[in-house]
Amino acid sequence: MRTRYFGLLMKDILYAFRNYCFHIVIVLSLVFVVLINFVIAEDLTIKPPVYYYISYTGAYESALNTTLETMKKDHNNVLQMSSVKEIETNMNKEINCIGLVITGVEDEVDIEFLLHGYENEQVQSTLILAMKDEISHSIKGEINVKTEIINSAADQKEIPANKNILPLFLVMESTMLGFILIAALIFIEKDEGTIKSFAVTPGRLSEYLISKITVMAILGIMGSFLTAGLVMGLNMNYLWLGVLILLGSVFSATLGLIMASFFKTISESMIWILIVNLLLGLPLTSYLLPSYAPLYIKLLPTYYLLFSVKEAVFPTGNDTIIIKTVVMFILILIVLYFLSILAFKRNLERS
Amino acid sequence: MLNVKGLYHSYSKDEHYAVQDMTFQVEKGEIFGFLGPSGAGKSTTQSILFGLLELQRGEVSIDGMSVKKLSDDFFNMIGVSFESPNVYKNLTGLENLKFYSKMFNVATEKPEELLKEVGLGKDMNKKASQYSKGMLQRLVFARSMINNPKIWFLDEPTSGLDPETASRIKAIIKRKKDQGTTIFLTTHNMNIADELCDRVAFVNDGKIILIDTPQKLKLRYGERSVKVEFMDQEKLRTEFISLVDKQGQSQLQKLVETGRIVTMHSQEASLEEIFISVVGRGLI
Repeated sequence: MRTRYFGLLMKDILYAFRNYCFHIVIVLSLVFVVLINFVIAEDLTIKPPVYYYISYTGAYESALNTTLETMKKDHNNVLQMSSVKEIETNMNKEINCIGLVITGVEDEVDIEFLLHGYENEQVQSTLILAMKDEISHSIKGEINVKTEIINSAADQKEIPANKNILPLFLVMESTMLGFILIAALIFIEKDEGTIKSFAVTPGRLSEYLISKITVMAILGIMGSFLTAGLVMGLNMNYLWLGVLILLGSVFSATLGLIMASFFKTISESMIWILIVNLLLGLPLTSYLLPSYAPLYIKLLPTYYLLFSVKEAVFPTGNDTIIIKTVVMFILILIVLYFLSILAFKRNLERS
Repeated sequence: MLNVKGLYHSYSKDEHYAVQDMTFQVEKGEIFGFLGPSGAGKSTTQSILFGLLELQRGEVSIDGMSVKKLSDDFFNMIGVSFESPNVYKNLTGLENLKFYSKMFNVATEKPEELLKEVGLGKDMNKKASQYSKGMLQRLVFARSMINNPKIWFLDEPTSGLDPETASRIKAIIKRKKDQGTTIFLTTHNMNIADELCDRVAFVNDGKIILIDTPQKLKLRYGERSVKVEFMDQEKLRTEFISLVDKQGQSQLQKLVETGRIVTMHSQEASLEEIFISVVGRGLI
């Protein structure tokens, strides 16, 4: 059994190599490294829409209006609203925006910034400070500035914007790319009819599937360690990252095997490859906007994987999130593994 | 060696049978030809025999082992040469065979030797994607011998091969038979069936129509006449003379006595003619 498994594994590694899977993973890893280290700025200023309402009447009215007009020119997403309520309505509709309310009379100007609570720190430190600064320059009177959080969010440690994207790339590479690659390999073998020739040897379907899953895990770990290593050096928890990427790769590979068993050709399955990848990638939104995590996203295993990988890459000592994810993935994988065996048996009979 | 009794198979799992009521035995060391047109049920039967399709009804055993309980021992003793060239195209011929040799739990043949035997010695390190159709066919054939099978399933083993290579393949089949390998041969090629098979089964509409040795079939369905070419007043004449009636026997005797016969051939029916006469349709 061991000889057969290693025979299959060697063949699958060779086959993945000759079908450029290793090349794709290495090139993609290097692209991610270049993007993180050289393309995406460390200090990323995001300019979300600003909804403002002004009810101030007094000596500085004209100066304030001029300032707001200048802001509009610099930042084309500054929009005037007719009431505070309208700002709040817009903020409830749009998850990435801020509100600005200017009230007061005569010499006293009250400025209130409305935030969701999960805004990027750069938004608060750069955009809001810039707006405050701009307004303070134009009026000489007393200005009361306050910031109100309309939605509470978890504290985030200060992570450079470029490196903050690393967990996202790691999960994308190991799960989404792994899913596509295993599907591609299975369809090549389906086209060649080799699974039929394997089925008349003592080799077992479980060995056949585990070998393919192993190759995907190797590719996932290789790509992730290459990317993470070149971006973070030694400043991360490689053990947890390895475990998480391994589970993520095995998860997507098993999912890819099940999906591939339902179709004869890659073109037949293309729409499903896209749909599944889109679903796997949905939690990326929640990663970028942590407070945006509706139930349907939380039902996707990649949601937990993403935040666990973040914990492994930027450790805060919160291993619980990683352990919970590991346990959850192990349980999911047991179910998926048996489903993949059933799906392939059924497929083999049909072909 | 191979026992099939009351075999039925329905893909729709109802009364629409692709294979129905098939019963036959193949003895050890025998070459058994399974002949029939496309859609006759040959592939379905074969797939059940080597475990690719689940046995729904009936009994199938190979060397005493039922196909209901597929084990390593079962697969270790069978070899399957598929008609389609189902090899790893991105591996070389040698890599393909080395990989398959690791899948068996029994002593295997040397891949290099097998490839030389089928005439792929020079091309063993080329990727299979660079092989011609005939070369792929030979690679599949060589692969099926890797575990030195006791029972060997061959599906159109000479299809797409040039005459020289085809006779090399036929020689290997004959040698394997002499070594005691039982061979289950599926083919459309009646000449090969005639040349190689000890017995043949005619299959049509999922049923076995007839089983016998090619010789007995020819005798049973042949005309029992001879085609004689002889000199008649310095001209070459051809006549078909019956060996059954007295007039024919006497005519033949006279020709023999006068020494005028140039050529003489017995008029056996070919397997293809017999198939058409029995089944009512051709093999294609």
